Amino acid sequence: MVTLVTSDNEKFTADKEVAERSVLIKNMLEDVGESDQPIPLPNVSSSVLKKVLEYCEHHRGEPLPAADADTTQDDTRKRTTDISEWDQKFITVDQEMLFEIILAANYLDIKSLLDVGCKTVANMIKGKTPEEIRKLFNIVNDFTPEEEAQIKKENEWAEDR
Amino acid sequence: MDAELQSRLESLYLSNEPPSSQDATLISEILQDRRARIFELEKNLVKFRMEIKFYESLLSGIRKLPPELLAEIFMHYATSCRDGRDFSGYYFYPRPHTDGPMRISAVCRTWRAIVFSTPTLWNYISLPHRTPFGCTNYAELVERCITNSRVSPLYIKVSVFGSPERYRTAEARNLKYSGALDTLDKFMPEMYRWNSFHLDMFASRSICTQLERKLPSIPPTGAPNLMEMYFRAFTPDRDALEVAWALELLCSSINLRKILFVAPIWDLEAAPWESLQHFESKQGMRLRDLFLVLRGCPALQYCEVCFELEEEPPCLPSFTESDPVIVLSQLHTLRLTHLRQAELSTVLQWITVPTLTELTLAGHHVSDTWLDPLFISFLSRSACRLHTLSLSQFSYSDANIMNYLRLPNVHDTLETLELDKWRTPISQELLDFLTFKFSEGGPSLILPKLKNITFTIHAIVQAVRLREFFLSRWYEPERNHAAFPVQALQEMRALLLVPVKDMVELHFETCIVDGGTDYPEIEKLAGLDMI
Repeated sequence: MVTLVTSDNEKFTADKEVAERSVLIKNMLEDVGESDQPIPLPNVSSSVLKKVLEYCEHHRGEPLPAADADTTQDDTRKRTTDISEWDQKFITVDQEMLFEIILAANYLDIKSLLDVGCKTVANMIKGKTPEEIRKLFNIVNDFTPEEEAQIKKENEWAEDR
Repeated sequence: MDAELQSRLESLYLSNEPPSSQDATLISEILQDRRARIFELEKNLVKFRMEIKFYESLLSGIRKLPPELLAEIFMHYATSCRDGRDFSGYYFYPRPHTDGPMRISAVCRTWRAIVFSTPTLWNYISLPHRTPFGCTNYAELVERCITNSRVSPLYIKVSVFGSPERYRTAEARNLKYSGALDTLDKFMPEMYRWNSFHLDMFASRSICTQLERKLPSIPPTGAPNLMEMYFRAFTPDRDALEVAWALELLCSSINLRKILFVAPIWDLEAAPWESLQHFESKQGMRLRDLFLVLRGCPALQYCEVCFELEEEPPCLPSFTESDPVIVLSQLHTLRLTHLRQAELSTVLQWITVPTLTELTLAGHHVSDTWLDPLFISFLSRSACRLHTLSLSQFSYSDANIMNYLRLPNVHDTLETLELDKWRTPISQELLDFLTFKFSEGGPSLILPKLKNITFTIHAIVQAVRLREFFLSRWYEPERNHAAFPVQALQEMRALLLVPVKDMVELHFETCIVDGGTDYPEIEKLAGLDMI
């Protein structure tokens, strides 16, 4: 078992196999060797770690992506937008939690969870106008009127039909 | 307001009497005061709502995401916009108004900066040309994509499709094709970045001949990073310049993994694609050229070739007795159609495919003698385990087929079987096998993994046999109560060939019904053993 300590000082214990779905934790465990020392996770709160461990537990035993899979220069064609049914249900959370999960997945280096989070946000953006996207995520339109005019001009390309 | 006044006004309110002029003045003053207060409250409400928005925006989760994570999200967004359209050249991408990088670059400055500094958001471009103005319409988009994609690999589709009614004149058509070639020109300096290239000219005649135009020259190194190439010209003209150009590009791009060529392939000098996994030639090629591919591409996994060039005599590869048989150790799918006897003979004699799981062979002249010993020898030599076997347009006998189905490397593994038996009478044994009809002694042959079975028969000559099957299986439940002997069976397809010369479209549909009918003659027929 592995003990993990969150930013709000809560302790979680998890099976090594489950915790090691995080490449960060796996590397830390390899570095410290056999030890009962708790692993501090100062960038992850207890509520988020609880969700992350739920994900790791569900996907326990599944093959991990190859170490160099993310570093290939261009994986445009390999991406898919599919999210499994369980993952979809899992990631149906409020926006704050969604972004916290993405940040935690990135920090803990859990590629598959990061993908699920990013795909979910991508799906939320898809089909929306810039104004709708701003409203959805509370983003401020900080373009000057000149920049707005430039953007409008850029989008005036005609489709050939 | 004092209690006395409050009490007086309440009484007045309940009496429906008008107020005195003194009270009316007082009431007007009170009203003015209340309206002013409401105005102040509403102003504050608006102010507080704006402040809430302001503070919520400051706490907005998406602000916490660093640029690399936003870029990751944008990549998924771009993928989802293209999803399912990867092999359709009809699709215009990136379409500025509705999807792609331009759309999200208009959200805020931060997003815009990330979109413009993420080259892989700009390296996928699909431009269908439908009007004479295609090149002009797309010019700025092409430039933007080329610039913003920097040095990342390019996925390019340039296609020409049918025009709207108003552009169907010869002149407009020529301008449309010319525009597509102009668009192609713009990508030529970036050839070293091409990763996937798709050129679809959709014309029955040579475009270059019509336009009296040459295509841009290809550097000797070709497209060194090109992994996938799709080319479609439709023209059967072997001298078409665009076909020669596409072949030159193919032959000089040695790192290709996938080739899909819908135009005739002539006189390949070499097949230098050591990593080629997928090869499709759908508009005809010579067997000699196919053997160059088979010899030169050890990683080949999928090969589909049509030999409809009609060249006489067929151009065959030359072999001597001492030449070794070509062993294709990774090929799992081999589909060869329009094969003539000499071509089939060469294929069966000179290749061995131990990894083969799907074999489709279609002939050209059914009168050609079926090469039974060579086919048996090919299957035995390869020792492959077939999952799919499709044989059509050949004059094999029913006994041949039954023999193949009994071979261990077919019998134990076959999941899909397709046969055509419409030119010659079908034997009782084969029909019984195809339709799982039981004779007295039970079925003579069962393929344990068979899932799909398709057979083509003659609608007039052979359909009676098919009727026997339906009658015997479904109208005599007491005699044919046994389940199908193959557990895995999912689909049976019987194709009826109808000899009709007139141009009349015929459609037959089947519908499965539960229970009997009101036709007594069918019940009578059911009692007959042979019809």
